[in-house]
Amino acid sequence: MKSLEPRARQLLAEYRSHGALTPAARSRVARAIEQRLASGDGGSAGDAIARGSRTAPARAPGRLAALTKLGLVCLAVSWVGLGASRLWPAPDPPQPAQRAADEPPHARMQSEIAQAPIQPAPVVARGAARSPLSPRSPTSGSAAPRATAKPTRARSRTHAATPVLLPRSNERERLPRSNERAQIPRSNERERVDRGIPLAPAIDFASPAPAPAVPARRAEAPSTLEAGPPPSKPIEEELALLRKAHQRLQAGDWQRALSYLAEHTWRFPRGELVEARSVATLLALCAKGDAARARREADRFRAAHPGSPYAERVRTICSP
Amino acid sequence: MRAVRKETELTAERRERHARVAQLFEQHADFVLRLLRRFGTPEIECEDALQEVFLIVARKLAEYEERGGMRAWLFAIARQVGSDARRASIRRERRHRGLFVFEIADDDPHATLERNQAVRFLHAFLAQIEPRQAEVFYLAEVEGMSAPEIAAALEVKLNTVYSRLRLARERFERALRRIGDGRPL
Repeated sequence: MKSLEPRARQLLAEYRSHGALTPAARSRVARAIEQRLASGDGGSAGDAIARGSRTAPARAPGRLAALTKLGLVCLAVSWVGLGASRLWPAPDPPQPAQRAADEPPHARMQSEIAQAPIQPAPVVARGAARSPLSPRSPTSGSAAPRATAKPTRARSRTHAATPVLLPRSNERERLPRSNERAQIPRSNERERVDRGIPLAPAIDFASPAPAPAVPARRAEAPSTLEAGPPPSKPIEEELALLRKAHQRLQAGDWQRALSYLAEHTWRFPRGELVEARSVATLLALCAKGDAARARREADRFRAAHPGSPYAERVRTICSP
Repeated sequence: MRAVRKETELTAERRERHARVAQLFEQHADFVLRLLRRFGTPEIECEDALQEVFLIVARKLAEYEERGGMRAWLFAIARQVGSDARRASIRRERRHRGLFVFEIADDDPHATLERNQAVRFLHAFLAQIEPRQAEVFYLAEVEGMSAPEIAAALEVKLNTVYSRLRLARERFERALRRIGDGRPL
């Protein structure tokens, strides 16, 4: 079948990117699902819904005790992990529960990326770094522009009631993603569309430097409709994070941009788009008004990557 | 002792299932959300409906068979949940018009002007063409589903999918050209 014109495909990509879950909403829903599953809600809720009922299912007895235990174990494990990690040095560590209560994960990441060198060391505690239901970007609910007015309705009320006991998103074990991914083949068509990025131009990296080769090559993939269910690939997730960071940067929201970049650093310490991340971080530092530091880091970047396509962009960073 | 071990195994199995659900959520949350909207779930209900979809996924994962693919399965669940979230009278009406609801959306102040234009154009286009073609076009071109997946999701023949898609694509490109010429859709 004849594929669509590039213009048509671009329009479709724009349409697709509209109305996606905000990071805050994603995080909220993921956490609610996690809690309901943890409380043994999955089975009964599924039954109830399958029967067409929308009432909240009965809570299993002893759920709170189980949650408490799980939460404490996760906190303990993550605390060990965090202590070993170079990413989050804690000069004066408060109690885990207290820290969990008063500092949102994105704030921690954000301050971290603001402090860290542009090319950060790989995360030591990577294995303990992600929740099964972790959001793409943990963000505070208040920051969500499209958040609905009822983040915790009756069915997800445990979230509000027991914030400290519940395992936090970045403190649980990481998914066995690569294995599960390998089970599902996918076609080019699906990869292209699934990533939800504009097909051409692929990504505006907010710089005259060329975008990474991957999206451009993908953009030319013909639109053939063949079979193959798609898992998302690391490169796609990397792209998605960087794209969001650049969107926030263009909107002047360097804080959110940094939090996306921090998430990228944290999830893909040795990712394929590390250089692009570095450049985005430099741009965010400029937006933040920290030109001196941005230029200092830019010099380090150029020393570390003399042949980088971004070198020229980085050379004139923070200049009007 | 045996009871303890059994409990541990159970927990491990549950943990594995939860991890799988989490992975599916991460991969498909946006897809399911868009479908829920397409099925007419009111915006305010969408997050709850999204939760429900993935709780059903968790519950039925063990029985899930790789027939039409994961997304065809998610489609079926989203359709059920989305339908529940919509009033029965509207549902009855829609049965004659096709499954999806394409309404012209209000401007989203957070979106760029360009994207708004794309959204408005596509909404208008999808609302205007034959509903069954719109469904197939939406699933193929917006969601990137394969023709076999769409056939499984909509429970129609593969050839039907192809012919609807071909017609819709032709119309889409014609509509785009007309827009380019400054004529109405």
